[in-house]
Amino acid sequence: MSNFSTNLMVPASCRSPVLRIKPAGVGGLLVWLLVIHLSLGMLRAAPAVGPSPDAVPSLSPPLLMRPVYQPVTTAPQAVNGSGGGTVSNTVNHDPYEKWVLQTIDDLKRTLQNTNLNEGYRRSQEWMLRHQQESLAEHQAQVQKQLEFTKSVHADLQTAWTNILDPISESLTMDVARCQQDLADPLLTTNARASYQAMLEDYQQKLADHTTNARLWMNMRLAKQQHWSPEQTVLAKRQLADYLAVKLGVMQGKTYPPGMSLEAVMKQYRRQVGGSEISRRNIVVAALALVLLAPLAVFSWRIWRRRINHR
Amino acid sequence: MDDGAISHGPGVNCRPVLTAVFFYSTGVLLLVTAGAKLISAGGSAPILQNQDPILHVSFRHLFEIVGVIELILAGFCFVGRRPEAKAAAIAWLATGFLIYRLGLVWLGYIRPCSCLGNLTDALHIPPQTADTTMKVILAYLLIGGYGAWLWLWWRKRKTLPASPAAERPGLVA
Repeated sequence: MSNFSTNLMVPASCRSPVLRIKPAGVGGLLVWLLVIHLSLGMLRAAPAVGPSPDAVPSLSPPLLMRPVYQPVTTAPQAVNGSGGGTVSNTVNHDPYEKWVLQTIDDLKRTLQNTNLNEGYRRSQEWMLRHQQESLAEHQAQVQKQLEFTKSVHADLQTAWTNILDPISESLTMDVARCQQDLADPLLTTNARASYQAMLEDYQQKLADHTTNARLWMNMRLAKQQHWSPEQTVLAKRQLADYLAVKLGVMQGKTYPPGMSLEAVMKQYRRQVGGSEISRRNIVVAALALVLLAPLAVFSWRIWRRRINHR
Repeated sequence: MDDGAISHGPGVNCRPVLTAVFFYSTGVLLLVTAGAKLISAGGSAPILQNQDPILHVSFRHLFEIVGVIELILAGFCFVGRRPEAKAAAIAWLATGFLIYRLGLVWLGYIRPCSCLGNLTDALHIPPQTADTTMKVILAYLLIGGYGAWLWLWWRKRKTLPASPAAERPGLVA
């Protein structure tokens, strides 16, 4: 889920190769806001790690149920998990909230049954915790969107610096979720090792993404706010140095310090042009060749032998 | 089952005990690993929903597919009649595993391979130990499979009767 980019505030001249969106003005920001929210909704609809599908039915709501935008009007303690969370005692919930609250109620009702076996109870508890976290995240997200929209209307310039970053949000949620999963004392050794690796991976991606976003933001602000030439050059240099280091790590090389941003971007575009995908494709093709070619040859020989017998 | 007792030519007139032992041991190993994979695939560990980094299918489906292939091959090792075919099948599977593992390394996936699924947890086997064990088994299958295949091929060549052309009077000078 972290493969898409957020370099949305980058000038066209030095935009990252993965950047394809160019928002313009308040209208663009509002459209983008909708896109962010829908993206997050889709991300939440397909969690990377979930319970066994045969243990519980799918609990993801249809995407059309997700709200485009709706401010929160309920008190946080009513919905964030531990306490209440019934549909009846809340007001003005968006459809997603209503669905999650209903699910939480259903799960709680199921857990009240004392005849549940241990495995099923655990999976239900996991689902309950997951739904409660999702709800809390959703409400925090909606709250942020509300604040952001207000800030856009108040001051467009300031809004750029406080812009919502869906990748950062998503990675932060992933980190929090992994940390929560790791806190489970009943976790098996393999699962713990896997979650630990995932956590480190997410943390690394988040740190990279934050640094990348901050440096691109500086570049944009330098142009937009007419920074002094020295500050502009410094922002450009920091970005070029950062990307050169990242590029060096990706290619297993060490680039000399002081490369121009344009030169780094040229190399970067060349590198990012689907290198990981092509690597995977090569491995898959090699596997397919090795596994299928002998079968094809074997089938052909059998077929030829039968023809000869006739 | 006759693993190809030879009665032609000096030096190759012994029963190939080594290949027979190799095929039986491979059958047992594949039976164990297939069982581990299939049992793990039937579990409800959340990790089974994760996608394999190369094939982009869930670990559950991957375990099921590979487990069934290993099971079939284990059966073939026990009841198959042609030793060359058995050796080739083992070499084929081992080559697939080798390419998969090399692919993982190439893509930068440095975590221990979960080849035995999460059954190792139930047996209290650390993931690193399980991974090392699977590497050893892979080396055994790879070397043994290709070794047996080459040896059987060499032995077959050596024990082939003389060329039919040499027996035809009209074609001999």
